[in-house]
Amino acid sequence: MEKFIAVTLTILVPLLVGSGIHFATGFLKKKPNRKDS
Amino acid sequence: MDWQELWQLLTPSVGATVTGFPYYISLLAIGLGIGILTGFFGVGGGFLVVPILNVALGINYELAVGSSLSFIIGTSFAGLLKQNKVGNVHFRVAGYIVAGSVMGAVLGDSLQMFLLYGVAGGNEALFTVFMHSIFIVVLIATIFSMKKPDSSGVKKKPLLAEIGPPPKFHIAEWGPLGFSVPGAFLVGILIGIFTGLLGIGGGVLLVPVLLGLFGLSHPKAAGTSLAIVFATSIVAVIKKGFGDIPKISLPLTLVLLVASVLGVQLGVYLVGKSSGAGFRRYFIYVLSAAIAMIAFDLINTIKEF
Repeated sequence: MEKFIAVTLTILVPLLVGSGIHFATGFLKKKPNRKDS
Repeated sequence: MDWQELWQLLTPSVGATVTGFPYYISLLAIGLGIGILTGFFGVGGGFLVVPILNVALGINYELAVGSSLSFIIGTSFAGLLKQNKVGNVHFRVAGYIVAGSVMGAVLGDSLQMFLLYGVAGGNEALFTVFMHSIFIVVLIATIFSMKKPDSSGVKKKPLLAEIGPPPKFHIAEWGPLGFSVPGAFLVGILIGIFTGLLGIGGGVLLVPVLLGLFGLSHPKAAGTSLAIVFATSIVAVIKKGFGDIPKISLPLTLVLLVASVLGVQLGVYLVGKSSGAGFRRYFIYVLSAAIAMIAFDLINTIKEF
């Protein structure tokens, strides 16, 4: 049981960080382009 | 639920020569450096992470390999989401290669265990000599596989469309031209073995393969390579995670991942500041420096016998 949770965490945690990186960089890139009309 | 056992599984002893604060600072520096290279050259950096963790910090190869693969899951997934958004992932090609590469990853891990226990008799120093030697050969092969861009403008027929047994599959870019399914499967197995054995994503090997054997364009080769690396790394981590000895350190993975994120941004900034000329030459310098570092440590390890 512990091994199964450990394996799941070693996959899920990097996945979450990876998707976090993707959305964070996307957000940071969009921000400077916004101009007040 | 035994929380203590779970904690021990996630944070095994990595056998590093430095511990505590200096260990984490060194990991941050390595992650930052790898991230800069990723941002600057557009390579995954897995082929550098594993030997550097071993040479610079003395981390056991089996733990460096497993943790590198967990790290690659995060970096390749971030890249894959980005590439998929712009339509650079060729899922059909990726699917046929992944069918082989997941099997290769399992074989690669078994080969690693065979080298460690069957050949080296559990002697970590002898195992390090084997792994150092394999890394040197792979890095030298990478240098030689880096061809100058073809400026003739002639679209060459992909190699896997000419050779390889049937059945064949088709991709839109090449119309009626068929690609060998067993050939793609075999390529996957070979790439997967490198992933399971060395902990490298295989992007540095996959991109030339996708360009030469499948005739994909550079952007599609990069995007498709990320999909293959991502799927293969997950299977390799599962195989290693359920193994008899601990092979993945989650704190090591996380520190590398966070530091490399910052490094990638810095690398992309440096690309913007550079003229763009001599990228290939700079990359060869980086690979040569890595080869020299591993060779130096290899000689020192052999001297200890």
